[in-house]
Amino acid sequence: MWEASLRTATNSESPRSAPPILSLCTAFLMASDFPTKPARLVNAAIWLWLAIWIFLLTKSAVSNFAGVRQTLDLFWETPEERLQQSYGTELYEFYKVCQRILPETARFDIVGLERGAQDHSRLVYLLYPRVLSDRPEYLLVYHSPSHNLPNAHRIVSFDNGDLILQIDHQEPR
Amino acid sequence: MTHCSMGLLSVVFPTLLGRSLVRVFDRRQVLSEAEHISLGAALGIGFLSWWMLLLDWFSIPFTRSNLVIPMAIASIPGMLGSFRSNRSTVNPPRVRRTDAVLLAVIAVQLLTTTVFSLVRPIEAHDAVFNWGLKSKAIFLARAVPMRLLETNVSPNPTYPLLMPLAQSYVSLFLGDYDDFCAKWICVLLFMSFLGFLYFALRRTGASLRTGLFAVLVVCTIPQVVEQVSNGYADLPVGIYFALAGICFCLWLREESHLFMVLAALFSAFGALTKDEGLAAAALLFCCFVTAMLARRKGSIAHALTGILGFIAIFGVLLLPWLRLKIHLELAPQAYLVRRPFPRFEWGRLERLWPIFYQYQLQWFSLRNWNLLWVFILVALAAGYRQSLRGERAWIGSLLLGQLMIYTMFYILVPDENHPVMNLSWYLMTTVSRMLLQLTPLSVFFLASLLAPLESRGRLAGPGPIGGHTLQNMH
Repeated sequence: MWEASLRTATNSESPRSAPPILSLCTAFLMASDFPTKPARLVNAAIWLWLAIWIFLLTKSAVSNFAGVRQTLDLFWETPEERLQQSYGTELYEFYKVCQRILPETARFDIVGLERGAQDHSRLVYLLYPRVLSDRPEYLLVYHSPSHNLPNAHRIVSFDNGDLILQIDHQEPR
Repeated sequence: MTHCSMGLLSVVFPTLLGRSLVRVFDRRQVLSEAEHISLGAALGIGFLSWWMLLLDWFSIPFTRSNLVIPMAIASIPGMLGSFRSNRSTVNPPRVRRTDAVLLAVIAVQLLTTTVFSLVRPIEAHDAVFNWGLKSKAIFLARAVPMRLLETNVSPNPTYPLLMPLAQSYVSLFLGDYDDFCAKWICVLLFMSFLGFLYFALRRTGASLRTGLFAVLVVCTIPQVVEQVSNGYADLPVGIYFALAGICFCLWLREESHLFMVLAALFSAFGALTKDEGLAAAALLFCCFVTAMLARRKGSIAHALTGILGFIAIFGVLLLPWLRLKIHLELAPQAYLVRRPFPRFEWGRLERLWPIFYQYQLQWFSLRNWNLLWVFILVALAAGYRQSLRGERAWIGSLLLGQLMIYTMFYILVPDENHPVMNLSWYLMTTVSRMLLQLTPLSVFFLASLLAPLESRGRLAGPGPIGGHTLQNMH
């Protein structure tokens, strides 16, 4: 069985197909270790598994080379930079300003990010102990520049149109 | 870097606690020292979370000293006890070239998984909104954050809290909330499982190569690698389910009470991790009762004692959580996140087709699972007579039972009138995670199907432990 796989691997002429070459190496390494017939099945399973694993690794690295480089860059960055890269620069900067402006007991709502969206969840997580509320004191307007509220005043406005609004709650008499 | 090292130091305490407890339970010295350590990590994390729930019950804040000192004290018996660590799980094996390649791949893969896991913060959707948010709230409140859980801010407020509690412990140890080091918990659980998987397979007669292959399979499945690093709770619940299942299998094989106790403990910790763990624990309990009553050895009284012992362990560990869960279910805001009560209608059986279609899409997805499910299907088809015998039959039943529970969930729970949470949404978002929960035990099942091939047809003989028989164990 291993001889057949060795032959298949050797005959493969595609220069950029890594798996056959690696399969060849694996088959070579395992060539001396086939003591019994049933054990060959286990060895074949190992060989096949490793070949597919290497193929998948190579494929994902080639198809997403930029992503791999970005991940490798993380090693040399500070925790703050890693957070920024993981959560997205714009969202992280928006969060940092919100964190500075909003008191820890603040209730807020977010405009411009749908509930359940990844960035919405991240912002809620990052801003805790400030809590998301149906009766907010602050409105965080993210990437939604046309948004306006008559009973709210602007605390911070960003160049890209993002806003932090404070809502004036009119208590009923 | 310092934080990372401190994070590593923080998980040493639960590991020592778990190791000490395993040594205390292992009065007859059934396990080797390496097995104590590998089981200790998973057990320690579970006991740590249980301890935190207990502290919360008595309104004692989660401070570093309230957590670390009891763990350090509980670790002392394990260190002081005169324990003859002469039991080797296996005879020293001869390492061939292929085994060396497997070892090298495992080492490289584990190292990269750990490093890539710790270099990124908790960032995936459920990881931040479900587990991370609770973990942060626990850290800030130094208690179970009822204010957060009682409102509709927190998604799934009645979900079990083992993962958030354990993650917040790392931050409590560091004295600062850390989005990176929280991942040590998942990494430690993963390592703990891999260690015990290997030793358990060697106990059941698998060769060095099959044992290493099983470890390699788990640590190179793309879906598993992704989940080790993203902070979800699906892999931890799968690991606890697998540890419970493997201990159950070893109890059937070696009839040592130790494995029954461990199976009960791990299934309880699975139930404390995720709701699916509760279903798995109920399934394991049913299997345990059936196996206990079907055994020809021992009296009915003996069987009843075992069953009551299992229930007692389960009750003691789940009680602090059940108290909280009942409170949260009765909270005024709970209706906002409560799923509609499942209703059965015959028409819903038509859902079986899309459900199985989605299952097979996953089973044959090399990108997610490599050849895991294909190997299992082939091994089952090739050796179905062997797989329906002995402990393998029980493991197969556990896996099949759990898959049936998931299928029942898909038939009963999704509401087709809901704009988002309909069957299609559930299938798209959860099938891979449901299968992930079955993966650790499935690998054990696969390896135990492969093991007899290498040991020339030996199916249920005594394990390769030097001089180890049922008689000298009791």
